[in-house]
Amino acid sequence: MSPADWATFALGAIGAFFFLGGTLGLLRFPDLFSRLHALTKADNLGLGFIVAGLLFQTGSVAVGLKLILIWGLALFASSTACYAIGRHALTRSGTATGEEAENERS
Amino acid sequence: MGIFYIVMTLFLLANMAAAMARVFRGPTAADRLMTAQLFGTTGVGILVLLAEAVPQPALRDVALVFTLLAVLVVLAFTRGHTGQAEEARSRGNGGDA
Amino acid sequence: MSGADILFDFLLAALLVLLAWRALAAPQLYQAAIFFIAFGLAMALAWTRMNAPDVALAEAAIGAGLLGVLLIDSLAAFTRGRERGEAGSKHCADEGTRARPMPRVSQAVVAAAGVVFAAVWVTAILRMPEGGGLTAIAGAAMPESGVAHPVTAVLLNFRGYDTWLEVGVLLLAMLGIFCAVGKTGFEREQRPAHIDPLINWLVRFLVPLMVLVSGYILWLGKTAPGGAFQSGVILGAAGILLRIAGFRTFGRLPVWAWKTGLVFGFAVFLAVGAAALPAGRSFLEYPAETAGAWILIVETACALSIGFTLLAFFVCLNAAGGCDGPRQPNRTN
Repeated sequence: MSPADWATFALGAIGAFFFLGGTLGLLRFPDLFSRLHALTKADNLGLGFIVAGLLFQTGSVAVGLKLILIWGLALFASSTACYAIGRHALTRSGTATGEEAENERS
Repeated sequence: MGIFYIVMTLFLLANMAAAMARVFRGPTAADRLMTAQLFGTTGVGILVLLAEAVPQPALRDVALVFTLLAVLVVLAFTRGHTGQAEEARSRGNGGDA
Repeated sequence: MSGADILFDFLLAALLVLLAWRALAAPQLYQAAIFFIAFGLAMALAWTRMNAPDVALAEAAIGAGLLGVLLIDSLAAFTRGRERGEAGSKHCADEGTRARPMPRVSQAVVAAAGVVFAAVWVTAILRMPEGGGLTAIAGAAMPESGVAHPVTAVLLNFRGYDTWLEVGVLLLAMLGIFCAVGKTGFEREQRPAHIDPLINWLVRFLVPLMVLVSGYILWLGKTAPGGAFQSGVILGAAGILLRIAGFRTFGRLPVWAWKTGLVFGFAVFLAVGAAALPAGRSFLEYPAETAGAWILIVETACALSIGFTLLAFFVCLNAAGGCDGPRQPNRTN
């Protein structure tokens, strides 16, 4: 394996770790807002690492730029989505802790 | 290198499958929607990896379209205030998921 | 194909079946919609595994993106109708968003249809012609098609007839919605007093980018997976994003403009097809030298119309604001 392959391997593994973190957060965190936090940050970081790893494998600048565009878009869209969901939940529940989300389980 | 991509995609797919539990459990509509978002992000990860592994450059375009359209569902949801009222109603009827 | 490959495919297939089942069996329509969106995403992945990136692109745009928006927004329309307390809509909001279990008779019919379909499917696979059927003939005719991507050659040239009629089907669906809802949706479009600054910013950045990607996908169709349909869907999605954020879309246009937009693709396709007739060729047969240019013209027109039509679906259904009460039985499942 060449050094570039090692870089892809390492960055990909870090990316996978963050994806795992995102999924665990989504499953284990107690309320909506912390889950939102886990999901939108960890997953996009994971995607960023995977994209960064793949950049070592791409032969052309255009492909690399497209990968970066995909990641940038994902960041942009999911941060806005996070804001929209959070705001929506906040206005619905009226508390900053997502109490309604908690209560709904009982 | 090929096996690395496949193991990575397999891992991401397993993540997706595990996250499904959140759609089942809810409890709020926003939770379920977030899981759909996670499906999208993970799917993009799988697609860019597959594009390199197969190799099939067109999959990067699929990933691009995925990311472009992912936010629409969220905005349709948050603007419409759907689900929340619905979940509340279903709890009233004892029909929890 | 390695073991990990097969494991991936098995996991994906199992996930698909589970998602499909949950989408059908979910207790509420909202959950069903979420499962359906997830199903669309997984399906797009499945198409890539079956080496069909063209279909994956369409599925990503429609199954995961557009249909999800239509479903979620239609549900929201029920809720809005209920919150406004409109006469009759109380009924439809309460009944409409809770998925009703399928009657036994329907279950039996669906099961029987499933068995028949599976039988036909297995037979079809067993009797698959050696050497891929028409693939060789299509491949041999590729130089005359005017494009380098076989799928585009089949869709726009060899079987252009099918694609033309598909655009027609979309137009018919639009007319159907007009009959049911009228064009009030276009007239009712109001810009809200306040648009969330962050959403506003998102729209101003994302909509131009979507239009750009739409054009890119359209152009790509000549040599790679892409083309009019996927491009049109992205264009429509850009319009829907504007509308969701609260901007006016059709309301800004004069009536003739959106009417033209809706029929443009079908009409241009028809005109190009008919133009072949006086020259002694058959309907939709392009001259081999200029076929690429004709295909691009037809595809551009179709993409515009598909985008317009999908946006019109959304605007009309969105403005319908729930159902008209008890007149419509809840055939939601």
